[in-house]
Amino acid sequence: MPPRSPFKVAAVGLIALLASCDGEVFGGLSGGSTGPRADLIAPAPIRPINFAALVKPSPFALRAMSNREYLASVSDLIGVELPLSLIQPWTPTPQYSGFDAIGWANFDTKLVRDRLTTIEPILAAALTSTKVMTCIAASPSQLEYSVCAQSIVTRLAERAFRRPLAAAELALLKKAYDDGVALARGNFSTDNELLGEGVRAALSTVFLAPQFMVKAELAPAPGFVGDRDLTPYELASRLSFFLTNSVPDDELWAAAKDGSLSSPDVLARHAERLLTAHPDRFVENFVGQWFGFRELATATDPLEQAMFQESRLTLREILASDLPANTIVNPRFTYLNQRLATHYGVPGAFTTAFQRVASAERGGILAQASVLKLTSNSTAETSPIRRGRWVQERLLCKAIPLPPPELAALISASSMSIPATATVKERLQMHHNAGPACNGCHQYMDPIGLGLEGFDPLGKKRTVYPDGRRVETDSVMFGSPFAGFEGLNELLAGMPDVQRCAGEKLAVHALGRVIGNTGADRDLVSSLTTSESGDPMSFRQIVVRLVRSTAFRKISHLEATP
Amino acid sequence: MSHSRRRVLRWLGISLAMPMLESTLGGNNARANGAASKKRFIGCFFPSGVADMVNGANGDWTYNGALKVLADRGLKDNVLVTRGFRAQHKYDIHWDATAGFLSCNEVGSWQINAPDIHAGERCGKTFDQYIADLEQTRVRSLHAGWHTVPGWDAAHDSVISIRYVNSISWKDERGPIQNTQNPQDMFTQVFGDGTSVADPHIQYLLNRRKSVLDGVVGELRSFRGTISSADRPKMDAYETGIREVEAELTAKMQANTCSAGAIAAADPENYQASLRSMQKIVVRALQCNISRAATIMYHEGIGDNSIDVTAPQAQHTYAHGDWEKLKICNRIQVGLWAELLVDLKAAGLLEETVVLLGSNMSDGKQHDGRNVPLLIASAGPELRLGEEVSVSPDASDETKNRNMADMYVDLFPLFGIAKSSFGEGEYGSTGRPSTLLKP
Repeated sequence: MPPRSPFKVAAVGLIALLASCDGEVFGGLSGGSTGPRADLIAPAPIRPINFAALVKPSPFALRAMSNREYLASVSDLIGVELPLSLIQPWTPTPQYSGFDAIGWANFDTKLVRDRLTTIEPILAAALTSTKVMTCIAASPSQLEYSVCAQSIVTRLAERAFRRPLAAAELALLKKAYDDGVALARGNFSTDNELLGEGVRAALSTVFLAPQFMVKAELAPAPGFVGDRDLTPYELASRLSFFLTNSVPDDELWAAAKDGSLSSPDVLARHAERLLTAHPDRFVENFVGQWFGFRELATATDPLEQAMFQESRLTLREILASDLPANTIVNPRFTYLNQRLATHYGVPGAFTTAFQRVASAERGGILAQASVLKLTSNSTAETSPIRRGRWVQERLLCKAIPLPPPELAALISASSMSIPATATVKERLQMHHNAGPACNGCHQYMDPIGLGLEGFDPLGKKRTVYPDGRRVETDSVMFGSPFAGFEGLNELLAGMPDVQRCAGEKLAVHALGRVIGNTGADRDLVSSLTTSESGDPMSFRQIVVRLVRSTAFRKISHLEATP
Repeated sequence: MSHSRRRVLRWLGISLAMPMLESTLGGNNARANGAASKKRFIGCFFPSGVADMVNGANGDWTYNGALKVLADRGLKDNVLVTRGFRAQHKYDIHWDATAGFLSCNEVGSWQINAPDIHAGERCGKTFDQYIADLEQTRVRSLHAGWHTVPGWDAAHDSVISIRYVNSISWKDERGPIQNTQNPQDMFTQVFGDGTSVADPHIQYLLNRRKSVLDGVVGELRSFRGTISSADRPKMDAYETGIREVEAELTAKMQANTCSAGAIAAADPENYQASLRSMQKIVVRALQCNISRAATIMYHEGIGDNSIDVTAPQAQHTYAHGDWEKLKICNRIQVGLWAELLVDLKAAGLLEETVVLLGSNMSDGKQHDGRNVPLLIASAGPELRLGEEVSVSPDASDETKNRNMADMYVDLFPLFGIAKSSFGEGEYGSTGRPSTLLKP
């Protein structure tokens, strides 16, 4: 038996997460599965908040930077905004529930290969950046490493490696520079060209080195086992990737260097500063991954671009105004431009610029065209199942398992048996008729999807399908009947699960791992999302609690296998 | 310097999807001693099965039917028709048996897939990649295909990697190899784009790249010393990646002496012309020893791309309902395969090459895996060429059908590869001889 990839090992953890639909995961959601559940819409119980007692540090794991983290980090390091198109040839970063680079899956032999395909344009940008090239070589003596190149190379390398450099690393950078210059002699004539070739060689090794590309909070000594505080440098790195998708900025680096970041208060202040200074980075990378609309960021189609902007601007205001996190379900405002207003059929004078519009109908995450589009099968067809599953997984953080292999034949036979004349509701009824094997899970997806059928694949409202049939959106969720989308949305807005889910997703993004729903992970999410007053908390408040928590500030080094 | 940076960069960056050399990592497939009679391999695939092979019958898969073109082109003595292998599948046959064709591996199962896709993708190293391991060639392996399917649209399958239907070759369990769909790309891969490696500036750029890789290995070693033994295999993958690229650079620094001759890159939108052109490039690449292994995917079996005006809908649609149209598709694809064999013969390569043609299902309408169509072509005394060989006492009984893995295990020694098992679990080899070899 060949050695298994890390994927297989980590998958075991995932199986635990994906309990069957009649198992514990859904125990709290479904109850006895008949009759309305009062606790579904009741506020979450208030629990004492004691981070140290409730929450454990996360285990150590090596993680490669995601494609986007790599691009943003290189851009910040060289002071040149590199285009997203650069990462197109790379293998897509594996995702878990929308989030990039959960540790187990993104490590293989393609990593270096992918980065090599784009190293030349990156170096070309670096070598012409005034932020990088802070000195020149005007004479042969200035080619000496210590005269000019060293300051260029080591400044960039330590910021790239996010810590002071080891002596061996410093020596390797000098060697790379010297080798680069030696190789270039005969091919280039001026001293400054030779300097450039030497710097190019040294920076190549920086941008391709695992010290840069791999996020690792290493054990302080060989054989170290147990929990420890993260160093100020490690905290800076965690915080900046969490909130800005990139390496630490100057202020954070300074706070790491002087050690002050070890104080939870200082760390929390930097978290608030980064959220204020770079709200778009947080919105695009955190909320954009959570709800998937990040993938429309580069859309060239004006409508798709408008969909992205609506989501971005709405979430940005929720963040900036410190509104409760569950406001995302129904903020009662949105942002529209002419293109999107026309698309939605909203009357009024609009321009190409986006403006804030008070609206009870639009703005909520399930009424945004970006989400409605991304959860449809195609631009011609919605999928109530897909949308229902999406709401459970993304908005309520309830994992719905895939059908077990044994059902493949049943699914195939049932699909074939549906008459072509069946309505959407009748088609979904098939899951119910097929008995618990199908209905066990579909009862949690289909009704939600049906409530969203009043939106076409591009998020326009509709009352009839293209074939002239009437759209039916009334249904029953968890025993509670609801009338159309408004009824569904109201039900969802009252569910404490939305607030908890915001906390869970923030923890997934910050810690780079799957957050379970039992034990310390469950307590972590409770502690993040339960306020003293009982009022729902804002993203900013949850972020601050999270960065102050043991889970964020400590790490657990498990026993190394021999 | 007359070279545009862009062109040189493209040249440095071409064929970047090349897989790892298992032989450099040890493993259980060390080459056997003794002379190998076979050197090259081409695995060919068509989707959605054949007309009328209902319940394990032979249906249209006879020399009176879809295979007639092979008899017409005088290839009967070079072809072994197998009976009684199954397209093993635990999950949906479309993708499970496509990914399993050359790998005999179970794909990443439904339960261990993450809710969102790419994370759970898993198959296994395919037969062609073991042949590619035999020698470090200029281009590790070639992979021709028609269109790809962009994504799933059904609720259940939408969480399964679409790459299971878009690739038949996997460099390892996590690495599906994308097909080349534009003949021009394969042409450039094999014959180059006219850039001269004798040019000192190009030599400098190549040396510069190699020097950088050395520097990265240095940093890597320094880093490796600081991590726990449990995490070191991850760093090994990192180093393997660097070493692969280095080996490719070395290969590129050797001048390309293989000329394209009359071979031209055809219009990628013209189904037959495009595949025919890529087949000719493959044969030439094998002849020049630019590659040892190739795969050809005549269609992916899910997408709605029509292969001919006389069969304007998707091959998969015809499999479900229209035997006559499915027969047209089968005849075109077996016809292309016959041309490949004729070309190999003309190039004097058939004796040292093993060529397969198979599908992911047998009967189109039933979508089942019993008695899957599977042909082996070559020349020489080892295989029972010219015969129809039944490997199962009852082709209609899937439980009595044989795994294709047993065939691959019998093929390995012909290539001088000592490997006594192939594939895994229910898909894997059983240790019983396939009976396809002459006694």
